[in-house]
Amino acid sequence: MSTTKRIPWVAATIFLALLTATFVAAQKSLSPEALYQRANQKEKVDGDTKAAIDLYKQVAAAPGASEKLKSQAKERLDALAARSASPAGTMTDRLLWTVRESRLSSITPDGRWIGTDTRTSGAIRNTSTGEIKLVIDGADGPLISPDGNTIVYNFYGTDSLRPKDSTTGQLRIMGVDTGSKPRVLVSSPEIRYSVPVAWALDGKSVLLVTTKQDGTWQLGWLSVANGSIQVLKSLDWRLNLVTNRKASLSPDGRYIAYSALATNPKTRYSLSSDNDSDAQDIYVISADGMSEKVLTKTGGINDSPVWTPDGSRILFTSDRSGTFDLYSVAMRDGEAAGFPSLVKKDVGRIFPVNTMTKPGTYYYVATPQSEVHIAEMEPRALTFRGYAAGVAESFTGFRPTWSPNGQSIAFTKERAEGHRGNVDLVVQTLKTGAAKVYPSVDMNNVALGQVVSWFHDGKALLLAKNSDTGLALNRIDLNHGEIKEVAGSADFLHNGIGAIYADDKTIYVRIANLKIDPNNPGRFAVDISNIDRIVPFTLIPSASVPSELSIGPDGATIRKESREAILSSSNTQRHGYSVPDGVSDLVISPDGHTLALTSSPDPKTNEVYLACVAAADGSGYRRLYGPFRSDKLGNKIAWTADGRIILFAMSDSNDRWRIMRIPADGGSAEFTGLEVDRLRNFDLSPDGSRIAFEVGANPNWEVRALDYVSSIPKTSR
Amino acid sequence: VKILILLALFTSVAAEAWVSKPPLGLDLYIPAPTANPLTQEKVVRGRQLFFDKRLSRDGTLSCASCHDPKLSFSDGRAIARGIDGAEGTRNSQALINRGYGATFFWDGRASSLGEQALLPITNPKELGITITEVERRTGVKVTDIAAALASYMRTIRSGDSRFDRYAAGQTSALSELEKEGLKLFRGKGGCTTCHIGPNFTDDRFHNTGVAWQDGRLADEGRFAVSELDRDRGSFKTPTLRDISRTAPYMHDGSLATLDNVVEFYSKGGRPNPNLDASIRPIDLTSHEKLALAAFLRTLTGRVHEGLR
Repeated sequence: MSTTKRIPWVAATIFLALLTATFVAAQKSLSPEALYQRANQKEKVDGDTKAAIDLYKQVAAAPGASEKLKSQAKERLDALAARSASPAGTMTDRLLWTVRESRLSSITPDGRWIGTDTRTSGAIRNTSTGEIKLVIDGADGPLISPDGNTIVYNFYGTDSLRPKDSTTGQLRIMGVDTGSKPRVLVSSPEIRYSVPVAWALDGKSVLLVTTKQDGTWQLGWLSVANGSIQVLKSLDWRLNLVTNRKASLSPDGRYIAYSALATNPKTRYSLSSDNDSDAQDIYVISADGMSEKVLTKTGGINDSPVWTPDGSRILFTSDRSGTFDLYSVAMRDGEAAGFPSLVKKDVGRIFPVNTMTKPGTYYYVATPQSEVHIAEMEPRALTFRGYAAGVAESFTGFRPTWSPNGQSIAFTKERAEGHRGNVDLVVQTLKTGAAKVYPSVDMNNVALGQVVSWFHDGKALLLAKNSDTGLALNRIDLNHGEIKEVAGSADFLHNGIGAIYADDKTIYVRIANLKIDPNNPGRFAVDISNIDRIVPFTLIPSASVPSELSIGPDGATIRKESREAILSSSNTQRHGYSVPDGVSDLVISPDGHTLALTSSPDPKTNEVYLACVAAADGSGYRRLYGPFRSDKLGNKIAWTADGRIILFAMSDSNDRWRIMRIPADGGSAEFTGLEVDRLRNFDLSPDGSRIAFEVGANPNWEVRALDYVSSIPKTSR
Repeated sequence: VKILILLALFTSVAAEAWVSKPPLGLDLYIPAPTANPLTQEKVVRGRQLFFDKRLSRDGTLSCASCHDPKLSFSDGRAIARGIDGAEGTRNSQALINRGYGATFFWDGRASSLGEQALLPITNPKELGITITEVERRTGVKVTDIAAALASYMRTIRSGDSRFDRYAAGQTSALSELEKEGLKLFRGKGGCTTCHIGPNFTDDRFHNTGVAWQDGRLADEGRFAVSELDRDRGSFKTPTLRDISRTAPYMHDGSLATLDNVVEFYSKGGRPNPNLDASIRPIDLTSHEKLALAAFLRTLTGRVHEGLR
């Protein structure tokens, strides 16, 4: 090669070298925060693990980086190292952020931007950095276009484009850049609400789920050019506000998978009748409306279909195993091409984005639920020995109550949201783990406090409910599932069962007197004799009832003073007695002679006292311990079978609880060794060897990402 | 490969081109059983058979005799008439939008359009002919006749009414009185308890008391199929589309005008042991009755049938 010919090559090489040097210099000149963000993007958006590791290392070694940032970078390095050590493509479940009640509405194919909404606004957020790019007050369900430049969203807020007297939402389109102005696509008096679900491949139309004024739902195509809607399929009342986003467009644009109730409920308010089934199935309809197939038919709840990025499978949740699990089914030409396979066990009720990213990540919101745990105790000393190992040591549910023989636990458990009732009554046998659900027991309007108590023969439960007609106490026959109202009153609302006396005829319940203050004025204990027949009971003030408890026009005074009393009544003789500190929680001793109670919390300090009183007439009030913090409702007192010791719980200001023990006849309180976050209820087994306790749901919803999902089904079959 | 892809695309486009777009307000998806997919050939054959008088014993009647396209495929009589002037038992239903239906006839005794298509042919009070004779006359197997008639009926659709235009955002499509009627329809009138969705029917069975006459049920209705006591005197909710063309009303044609129908429901139907819980007196004022009837007339649309 001649010298003249070499010149351009040399120049080009020098130019490239300079460019590289400039780039490296620029990289090095980035702030540690910017480096971290870039590393995060390489890891989570681009999937470039090697580059991410290099950048995280730079952050960890950067002299100007804060200790917190260095620690975050090291954490990511550890996570990436752990991932690289595991088999290739192993599914990982990442927590992105926690937030109060947020839903995910859409995501760009590269996973960079995600649409979210809360009750009041819609937003576009960067999945790597958490940066919020755009917030629109009054917007709902922003659907981001694949290029990330445009959104379609439902708008129910107030501005000049929405008529003031409008009772329906508008569907709008807008650029995501600052200063963009929205254009109204749909504003119909007949369309109450629209949810944009997916962009068609050509970008000219958007798949919608709408609800009309008669409460029926439709799947339809919206023209982005002129706002006209072609209804694809009407779904009657088979969707609801919770399930309406559960439609997913296949990556080739040919099919739509959606979940809906298998049969149309008899009224628009879904599943109001016992004859209505809550079975929910997944259907796949062709985008042109020419055909439709049923994908699942289990009689249970099949939900939230999401196509994998290559269109070869659909992921969905199902309760077919008794818990909500994530499944995957192979698809061919809009039909199942095999049986569903399990992807992830016990995911709970989740709300996924209806599309996966191209790299194969499944984004979802997990709504935490209360859990019941069982710990082992040393029965004599009542000290914590450790968490029970076995088939039923921990499960989703709340308000656990031991059966009289200590072999079973009754508790309540959330069922599919938006369906009839929100909870099921469950009795779980601990030895086998077998759980019996009582679907015939309508658990709507159950009381806030302890919901069920065992009758002493172990064959029935007492269920406390509130309804339009007031308090109702029901006996549930556990063999047949039959439910029978045994007592009720129009004058009271129930705040939880206190105890059932050993004769199974007298019940202590806590109620609020509607005539005094329907908003929970305090706690009254009432015993009802003759439980075998319906007894409409009323409280009649007698001479022994403190005069300040009589009903008067000044609600505030009564509310204040009524906190200071327990009122007791029986069918034949009604009488009342006062308790100096009020009553919050109430448990009867095994011999039936004594009530252990916690006082009403002090409104300023949330502090209570543990006290005892004679069950028969309220005499002998004596404080055992206090004041101590205990500011959450729930059953948090228990007696040992011999009646010598009382367990109770006290918290700190961070909702962290210690379970304590104290002799019933007085003495010093001691820590059992069991410390629990968000304790809500507990119950001691009759032999004192185990304690079942409820840990309340985390108030924050978790936004999570499941990586490498699509590879799992192939290997798990 | 490219040729094959182009061929496949062409075939798919060609296959869809004959299907007319549904009128405004109706679904794109028409349920059709897997065993009887909608094809051009069957629609053409079904249309021919629908108007073919050879399908009646004496060659005087066809399906269209009781389902006149000009009357939204109803017949304007209180009770249907078959061959030799035989009077049937119930009112001829409008056949519009039946492709979206789940059960057929007033009592729901047919669970598919194919099944429904054959029953009037063999009913002695309707077309009164045997299957063998129909096959002989037409040269078409009975299963193919059913499939073709069902396919044609799936293409009979009515929509694009003034109400549909209003629902699509053209708020001037309804007058103030009609809008008032719509409000009553969904509110005080309680009509949307049964008349829901694009076809204004829940496809369920309700007892409104029409069959209760002189202290007894003149027609058992759905009970004859389900044998459930609660279904005595219940009939399927009919569509309200094109209602101004399909008088007289109810399963027995006993209410001559829309005003009669509104009056009937204003009074709470006719009390009887199985009266539907949702039917109760609503005591509409004269103005409200006028408004409700005015709204119902806005459901009159354009009927599309056959190929595009």
